[in-house]
Amino acid sequence: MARRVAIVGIGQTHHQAHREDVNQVEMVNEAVTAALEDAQLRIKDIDCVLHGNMELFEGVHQPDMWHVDGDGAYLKSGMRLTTGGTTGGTIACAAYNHVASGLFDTVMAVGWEKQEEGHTTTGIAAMADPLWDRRLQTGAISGMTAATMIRDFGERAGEVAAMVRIRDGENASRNPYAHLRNKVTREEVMNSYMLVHPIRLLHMCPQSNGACVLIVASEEKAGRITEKPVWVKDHVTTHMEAMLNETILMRDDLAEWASMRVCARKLYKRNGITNPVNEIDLFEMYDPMVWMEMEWADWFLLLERGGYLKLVEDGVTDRNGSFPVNPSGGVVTTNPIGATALIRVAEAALQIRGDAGEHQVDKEVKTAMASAFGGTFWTILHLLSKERP
Amino acid sequence: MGQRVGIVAVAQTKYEGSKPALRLAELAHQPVREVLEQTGLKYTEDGTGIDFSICATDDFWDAMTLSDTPIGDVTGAHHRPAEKVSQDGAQAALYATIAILSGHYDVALVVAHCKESQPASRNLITSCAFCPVCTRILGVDYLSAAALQAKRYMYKYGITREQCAKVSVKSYKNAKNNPYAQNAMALTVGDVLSSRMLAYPISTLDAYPVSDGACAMILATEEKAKRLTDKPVWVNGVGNCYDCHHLGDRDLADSDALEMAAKRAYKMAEIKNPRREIDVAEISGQYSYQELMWSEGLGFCGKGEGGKLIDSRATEMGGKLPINPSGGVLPGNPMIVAGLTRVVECVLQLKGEAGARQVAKAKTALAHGTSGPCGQLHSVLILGI
Amino acid sequence: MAKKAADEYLVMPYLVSVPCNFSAGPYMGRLLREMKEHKKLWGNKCPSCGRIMFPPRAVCGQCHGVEAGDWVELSDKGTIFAFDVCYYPYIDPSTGQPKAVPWARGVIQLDGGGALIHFLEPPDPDKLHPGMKVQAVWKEEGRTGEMMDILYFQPIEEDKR
Repeated sequence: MARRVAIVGIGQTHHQAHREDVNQVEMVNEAVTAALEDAQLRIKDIDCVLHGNMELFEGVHQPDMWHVDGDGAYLKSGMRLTTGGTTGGTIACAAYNHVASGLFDTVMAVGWEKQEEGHTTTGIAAMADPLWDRRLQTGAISGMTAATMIRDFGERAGEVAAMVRIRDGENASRNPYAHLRNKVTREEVMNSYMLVHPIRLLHMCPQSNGACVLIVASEEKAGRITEKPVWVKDHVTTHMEAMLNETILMRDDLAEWASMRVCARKLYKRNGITNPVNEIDLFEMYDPMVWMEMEWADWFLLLERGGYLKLVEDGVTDRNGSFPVNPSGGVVTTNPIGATALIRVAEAALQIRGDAGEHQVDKEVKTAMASAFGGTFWTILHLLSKERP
Repeated sequence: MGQRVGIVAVAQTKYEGSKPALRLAELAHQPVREVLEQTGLKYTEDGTGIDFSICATDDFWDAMTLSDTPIGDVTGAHHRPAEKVSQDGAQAALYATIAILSGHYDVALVVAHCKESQPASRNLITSCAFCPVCTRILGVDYLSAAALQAKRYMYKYGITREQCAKVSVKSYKNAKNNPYAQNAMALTVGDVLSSRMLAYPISTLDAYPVSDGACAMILATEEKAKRLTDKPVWVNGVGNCYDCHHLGDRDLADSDALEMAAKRAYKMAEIKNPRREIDVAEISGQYSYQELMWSEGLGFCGKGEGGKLIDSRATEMGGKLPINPSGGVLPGNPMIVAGLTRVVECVLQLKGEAGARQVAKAKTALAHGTSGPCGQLHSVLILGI
Repeated sequence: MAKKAADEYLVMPYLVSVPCNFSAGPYMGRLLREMKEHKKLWGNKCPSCGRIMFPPRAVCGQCHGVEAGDWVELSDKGTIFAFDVCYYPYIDPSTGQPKAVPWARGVIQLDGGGALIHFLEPPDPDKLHPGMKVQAVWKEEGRTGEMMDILYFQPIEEDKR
């Protein structure tokens, strides 16, 4: 008995490197308050609170328990879902499922991370098998995708990497919630500190403190809450086997085999999409570093290897281009990991609503896609629409 | 409500103090393999098999970020939808029910696993559940917090240590009928009271031992459930609810969150008088006083009457409302798994497959799970045939 | 002004340290024993898709849980597929200590089948390249049955770019 589900409220904190001025609960509360205000709702109107982050970052076990003070879950239904980098996407899926089930009308999804309260790379390294590759981790800063891009495209790859970062910086400078809001130049990117060869500092996402909250509601409730509901048309989750992550690069059939393309094909088939770049208006993509966007976008958009490089070079993915990617500034400028995938959905929704302020894209946005990434190459895709499905 | 969700297969491992021969995924694989064999289902994309896999897994217990990673290999997660609920397993069963009712998936596999024997002390894990600024620094963990709650509960309502001990006696006795139980013994109240004190008033036999284990189940839409088994068990009602966190913010002697969770589940299942309508209950109590407190929250007796309830013997095998014919959590069931095991046990009861621990003519069962300190979050599922 | 405000906020340092005993299980356990006792690497095969899985494991995830079949002895020599070099001294979650930098690791295609990730020496992007032949350097004494019984892989011969 599926019901239509719409996003009716969006809230974020101003994501920053330092938030010693708040504890986790207070930080989450900022985003909850913002979302309730956006939806013009009170906490009593929320039936259920879904919560997610990555526990081992802050070293708090089951933080949803402590956070009831800040997210309003007291005496409410709720649960905690955590799937690493895809967490924000998973709680968005779960929020949809909760409302579509008919058991809940108005559900709040809370994704957050206070990266400064732990050690990010340490936390990510702990995802590996303690008996084999845990000592061999560089966290999220894996250089090997970039290495294969450089192998295949030479210096052009580095130039496009810089272009992507420049675009993200330009967009982030217009996004009051983004973490790294400064515009950057090609020289700054090319000369930035080498983290893990060949990944430079400006190729890579920062460690951000922040929270994002989405409120979703049934069709009936949505109609009473807002004049601009953003419909959640579909969501697809594609998990992958446990593997030594970088060995995936060895596959000849990588483009077809990686979860990104498998997920995209499934989403497109279910929604009658054959030419995503033409039929989808905007893509908020979860790429922890510019190199990954450069490779994965080919997979998501059903392009031949290197096809996306051309789109970037031609300005197609710019804010005023015909297929804007990461008009929010993307993950490379803002990454509070438990929130990041939810921010992708939130930012895509803001664009559909026309409420993205200075970082609103020029074209009208009727359909938007948001991706989540995490774990051993897991992917979640959300398809949002302005028109009721 | 439209169509119902049915549980079509369940399986569990024997619970043991330690399972050193198995890695975590290998442990989870055991009950998963069994439910796949029971149903003949495969992992497919065409609607003829399992659509969705959920694991109840926790990063702290598994000492791994993204602890669902290795589990995905044994739950058919590759190239398919898989999610992780990082709380007590009853929440995972609840979420599977919701996901199927949403229409997004038809058939879901749920597995919960945990090896409490893996960390040097499970108190190191549970102490991390408390606010690091004010509470953790005092050395509080789930055991010491439970002791606070037990003391408050006993003080407010005049519950005695003897009454709590009766829960242990009943649990360990029932466990003798359960081939999956970790421990079973014939105890007296005196044995429990004289066992080594851990945190007053909780002594060793009032507390569940360190435990390793796993369990799994498959849930399906009504239409598919009827095709997959001739004895589907319906999820007639679900409810969950959070309480406040800081132990001083609530009266620990009462469980508003459990009352609320139960109310939601009863409403959905159209149960007006739980004492009469529930034939058997499996409830999660890590410490003996909890069965008494949770019985009150579930409406099996009035507020403060948990002691009277155990004295009345109504919750023993053969009584009006047997609680924990499996023995429950007390003889040994790990965190994360315990609530899902309760669902498994209820399904076995309703299918008439509970062997020596069978409650005769059980038609409606209640499964309960809890997460967080002092029962901060409760999950209730009402099952029926 | 902002700095002054930040100074007023209390930040409490806290170390979360949980000693654990990880079971190796029958598959990983055999690999680690063979490494310790015989300086050998073993993988196992999926009977369904035929691939060699390293590290060895109970089931093939790609085949959705098909139980692993035959054991396969693997070479400790191979070819670098890709590598990276880390300059960023993060805290190792296994030790609680910052890692010494620089260090390099590579995806190594083992001769005859199987692939793994391991440390590479020297950790210098000018001295390593994809396609380079490498060889495991084992700990000669004091092997304990763990990944570090192999210290690293290093180039077999001078390999000019």
